[in-house]
Amino acid sequence: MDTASMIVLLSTTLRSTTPLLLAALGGLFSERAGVVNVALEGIMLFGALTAAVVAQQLEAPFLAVDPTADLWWVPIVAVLAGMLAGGLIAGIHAVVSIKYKADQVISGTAINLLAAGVPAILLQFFYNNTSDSKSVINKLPLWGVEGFAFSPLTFIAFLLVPVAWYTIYRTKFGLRLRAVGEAPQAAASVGVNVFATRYTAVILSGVLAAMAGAYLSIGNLDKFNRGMSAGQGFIALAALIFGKWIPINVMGACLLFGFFSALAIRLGGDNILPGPIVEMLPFIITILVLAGFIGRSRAPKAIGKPYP
Amino acid sequence: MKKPLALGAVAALLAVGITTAQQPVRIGIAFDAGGKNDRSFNQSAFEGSQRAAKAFGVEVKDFEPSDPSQVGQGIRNFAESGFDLVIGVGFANEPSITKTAAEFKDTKFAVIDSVPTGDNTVGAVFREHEGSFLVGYIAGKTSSTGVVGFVGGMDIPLIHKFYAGYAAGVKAACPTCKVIEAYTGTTPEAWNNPAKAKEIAASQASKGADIIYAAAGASGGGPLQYIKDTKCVNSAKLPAGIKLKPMLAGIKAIAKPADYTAKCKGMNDRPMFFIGVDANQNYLGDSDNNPKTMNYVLTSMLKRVDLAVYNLIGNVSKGRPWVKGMTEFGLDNSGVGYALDQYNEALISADTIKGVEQAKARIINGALDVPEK
Repeated sequence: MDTASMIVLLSTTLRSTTPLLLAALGGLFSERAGVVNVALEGIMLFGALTAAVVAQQLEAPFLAVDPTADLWWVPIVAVLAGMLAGGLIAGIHAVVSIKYKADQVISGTAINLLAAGVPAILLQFFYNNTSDSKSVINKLPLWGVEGFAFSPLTFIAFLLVPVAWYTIYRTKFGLRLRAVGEAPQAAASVGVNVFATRYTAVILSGVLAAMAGAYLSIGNLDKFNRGMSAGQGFIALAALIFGKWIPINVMGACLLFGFFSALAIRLGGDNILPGPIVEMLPFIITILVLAGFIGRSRAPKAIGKPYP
Repeated sequence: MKKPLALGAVAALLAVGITTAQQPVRIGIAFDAGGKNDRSFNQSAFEGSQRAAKAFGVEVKDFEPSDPSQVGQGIRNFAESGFDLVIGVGFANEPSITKTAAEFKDTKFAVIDSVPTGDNTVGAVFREHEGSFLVGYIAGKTSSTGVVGFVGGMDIPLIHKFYAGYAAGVKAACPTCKVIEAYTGTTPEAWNNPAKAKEIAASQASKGADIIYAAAGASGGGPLQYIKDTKCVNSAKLPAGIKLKPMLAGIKAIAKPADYTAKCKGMNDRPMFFIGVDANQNYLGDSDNNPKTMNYVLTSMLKRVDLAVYNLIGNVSKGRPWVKGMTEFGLDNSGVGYALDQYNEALISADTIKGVEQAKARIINGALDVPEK
């Protein structure tokens, strides 16, 4: 393999890892606080949709005047709007599973089902079209050198790994987060507000998952396509478990998944090894990890259990 | 035994007479996972149905699945509501059509891309390999690197037909050319994964591909965007052993859009092109709202799903005799073809057109056999 194809393999790996990492870090906060978030997939779609529609609507009046208008603030506002939408959707999940103590998996699944239907209605309203949004001209920029440039969200995703580690292990909030995820009663007995901590964690997970979605729609591509998350929210969940709920390990798991996905793409058409088999490898490793062959993956103790 | 049958026939005739007198013929059309606005396969079917609705004064209702697991639902609902013809767009609708058709003998059913079973059903299938051969021929004549790519959607025999015809066409135009084949996935999600399709395009470009043909539904937007972003191949970045051919005179003569000249003005740059599928996607390659400047879509393989749907609705609304089984669309009845319009007429030389038309004539008269797999 020559240098040029190594660079392509590496950049494909980083691009494929970005949405997984953002969503998995989101899931990390929620699950560390004891709330399962299977809604990552759906929240990604809502984030992707909001970012694409907001960017397109914001730039439209300017493009009408000058079709090549360069508006640097459009993608930034769009990503923030997407994150806000993700926080709101996660808020629904939080209210249902924390306040009303519903089964967290069912609440998350409901959001995933919403994400399959709601975008079609909104797209119909904005674009009279049910499958995709209009192309966005002012999407996120690329930082780097020609042929090896990435969206700012890729840099943010990797920067968030040490930030998440610091937050979880070195701050008061992190200590409370871990406490309510392991032993909420004990945490409450020393004065930690379990509800507030869990709400914050779940909403934060939505904000990060939506950032992953915004990366898909206006970072990597230029519009929203329905179902464009293509199961990556679930892969992020798998990476979270594989990474044992520890930020640096989760990053490793995401990179592994991203790498194998890039390798499968790279091998496609060469007839060396069928791509689908290569793509299966990280999942086989995940199953082995979960079966305890490579090392136990221990979940936060209070995960999935509503706090009374 | 004879009498009730005859009576039944009379009653059926009366019923038909009454319904046509009272209300228009009703057509139900159920789409595949891509949705009716996919700018490709489903949209072509949708447009055919809309044209037919105007031309024949029929009522058309549609059903769009919101995710792949819902494909096939809605068909039963159409049948139960007494629609005259129910069309399933896409092979994924075939099992539900076959099942529902067995229960609702008085309703007519059709599937695009697959052949259902039952006397009241018909399947419209296309010889996509023939149309793909023609666009492959154009790609072979136009490629500057001698390497071209193919991005399929779901890895299934139907999509292999597109590849087989394309590869044969490329080889016919350029025997030394190489074709790289890849698919976005093995599940129906493969039709809606433009991000992965874009990465595949990047990988193919790193192997030297300068023209990419996508038969991948909504995922095709990924390679298209990759090409519109990358714009050109540069000799310095090509893998060892690949030499750039001189730029074709026709392409050299076209005014280039500003986004192209800003990035690719050197002697060692050659433009990259995308080839669209099913519907005419040529317009999607226009980067500056000016068809006169160079377009990034070289041509599109036309699969006239709109024609199939239009004819089906026409036959039913005019009460023409029902022909069950399979209807085939190929080059001979203009069911497949290649797109040539204001966006790409400058890109394809007269010489290439001549070659394509010769190949087309030879395929139609049987002198040239295009492989299906």
